[in-house]
Formats: sequence, structure tokens, C-alpha cells
Amino acid sequence: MEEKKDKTENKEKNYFDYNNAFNKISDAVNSYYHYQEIREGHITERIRIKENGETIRKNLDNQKELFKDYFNKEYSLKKEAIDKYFILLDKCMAENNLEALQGILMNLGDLMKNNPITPILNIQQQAKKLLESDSIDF
Amino acid sequence: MNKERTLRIEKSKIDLSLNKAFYDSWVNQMSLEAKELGKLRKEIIIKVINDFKSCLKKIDSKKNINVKSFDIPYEVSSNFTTDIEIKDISMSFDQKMKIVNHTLDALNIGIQKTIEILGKKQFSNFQTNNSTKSGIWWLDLIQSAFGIAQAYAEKDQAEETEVVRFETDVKNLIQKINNEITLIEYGIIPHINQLKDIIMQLTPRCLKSLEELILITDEFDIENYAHQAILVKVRNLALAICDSSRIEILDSQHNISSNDKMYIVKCKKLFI
Repeated sequence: MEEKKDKTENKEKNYFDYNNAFNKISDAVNSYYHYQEIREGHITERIRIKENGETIRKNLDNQKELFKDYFNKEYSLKKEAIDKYFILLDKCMAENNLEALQGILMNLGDLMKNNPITPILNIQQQAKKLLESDSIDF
Repeated sequence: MNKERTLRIEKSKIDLSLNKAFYDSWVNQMSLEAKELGKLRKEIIIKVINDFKSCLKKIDSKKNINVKSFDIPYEVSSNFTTDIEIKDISMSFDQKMKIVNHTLDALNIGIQKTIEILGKKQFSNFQTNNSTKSGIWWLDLIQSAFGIAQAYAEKDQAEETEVVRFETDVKNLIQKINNEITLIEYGIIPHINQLKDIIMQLTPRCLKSLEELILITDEFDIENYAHQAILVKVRNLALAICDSSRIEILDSQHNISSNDKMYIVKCKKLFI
């Protein structure tokens, strides 16, 4: 009788707690899904960072090309005007046409003062102001 | 941080420093061009004005000269100072706790299992408290290992995101540096060169007229139109050259360097 009792007790002690085991498996599955959620969040965040960076770089690249075109055109136009003014200057000097000479030198002075960078700096400053302010005044 | 990520970060840092060095070389070149222009202007103005003034002294007609001020400085500067740092990702408190708890669980399972094996070998009945376990030791062990791995994997994901962010920021900054270089290469340096070109073209014409004026200085007649014309030509050309000293290269800050100040003061003194 006593042997039977011991065997039953031992069986009880070795009895697998299926409920607890099921909870363990369930916890593991839940934590796996939780990790998958975090992983997906990070993957999405990385895609967002990369795409945002590509957009920024594309805009900067467009800006760069715009700068190049603008400066090339501006400086070639200025060069043409300078060459023409010097031809006229020589003509006025040879003819002693003082009024025209003064006019040409004034125009040359204006041309020297005309800095193609200034409009770009102004645009940049205005864009910065617009981005910083919450409202736009019309 | 694993080796592959460390290498990626290092590569980004090297790219950035190379581009910064390239940018610095462009800024240096721009400064050299601007200094050369300043030096050239200064030399030409001093020569033209000195010769012109000595002629005027002889003619004694200083009053015809308008005194111009040279208060507008020029400036070459750059506002590029941005820097990027990689954020260090450390384990969160939850992740640390997860690792500690699961490690303790795994150790506990290991000890229990050892005791059980020892008990069987010695034919005695060691029984440990199994109340918090499932009863399937390897399932508990797998779960603990899984928990530890999960904590590390979460940190790994956060690190990867941070490295991607750093790489993207560096790429963006490199593109900005390239744009600044474009501004210098296509915008500022050609402007300096064009100013130089105008001054270099005006100077021989002014000097030629000045020579003509020097030739007639002794017999200068204010009533003679030809004499007047030469004087006016020299004066206008000299003023045009001096006007070039008032031209700004960049006008965003209105700062004035000590060299420019001295140069402007000298120009003023020459004309007064």
C-alpha cells in the first residue's frame, strides 16, 4: 500500500504542468510577434530615412544644376556686355566724346557692382525666413 | 556594434573628411583669388592716383576732383560649420532586465537538471521546486534563450537604424558641401576674375591717358578743349578703377577685415 502511495506521489511530482507549458509557448510566440513588430518598425524607419535622404539629395542636386546654369548664363552675358563696353570706350576715347565716356564708365561700374550671387543669397535668406516663420504675409 | 557597422561608420567619416578637405581647398583658392584681386587693385590704385596727383599738383587744379568715400567693404566668408555625430545605442532598461531574468532562469534550469541527474546517479530522490516552470526543462531553456536573443536583436535593430541615419546624414552633408563648392566655383571665383579682368582692361587705358596728361602738364591750358578732354578722361578712368575697390564680393555679413580697413583708409588718404 505504501509503495503504491509513493508511486502516486512521484507521478504527481513528475506531472507536467501542461497549462504552464502552454502559457510558456504562448509567451514565446507573443514575444516573437512583439519582436517582429519592433523589427518592422525599424525597417520602416530605415526606409523612411533613406527615402527622405534621397529626396533631399535630389533637391540639392537640382539646386546645384540650377546654380551652374544660372551662373554660366549670367557671367557669359556679363562678359559680352563688358567686351561691348570696352569697344565703345575705345571709340569714345579716340573721338574725345566725354559724355559718352562717362556714361560707359558708369555702366561698367554698375556691371561691376552687379553681383550674380546676391539674388541667390537673397532667395536663400527669404526661403529661410519662410521656413522659420509660422505664417506667411502677403 | 558589430565590425561591419563600425566599418560603414568609418567609411562615412572618411568620405566626409575627404569632402571637407576638398571644400577647404576651394575656400583657400577663393581666398587666394580675393587676396590677389585686393593686392592688384591696391597696387594699381596707388600707382594711378600717385601719378595723377603729381600731375594735378603741377596743374594746380585739385579742386576738380571729387572726393569719394570707400566705406563699403567686401568680404569672403563661408558659413559651413555643420557636423554630424553617430548616436551611441545602449541597451534599454527593459532589454537589460529581460537578459538578466532569462539568464537567471536558464541558470536555474541548468542547476535543477544537474541536481536531478546527480539524484538519479546516487539513487536518491532530489526534487527541486518546479512550481514556476512548465515541467519540460528544454522548453523553459529554449524560452529563456529566446528571451535573451530577443533583447539583443532589438538592440541590433536600433543600432542598424542609427547607422543608416548616420550614413544618410553624411551623404546629405556631402551633397551640401558639393553645392557650396559649386557656389564658389561657378559663382564667387568667376566674379572675382571678372572684376580683375575689368580692372586689368581699364588700367592700360588710364595709364595711356595719364601719359598724355604728363606730356602736356607743363603747357596745360584749362581753356583748351583737348587738354580738358585728357584731364577728364584720366579722372573718369581713375575714378572707375577706384570704384572697383568699393565692390563687395559677398554682402551677407558686412564684416570688414583688418587688411580691407587699411586698404580703404589708404585709398581715402590718396584722394583727399
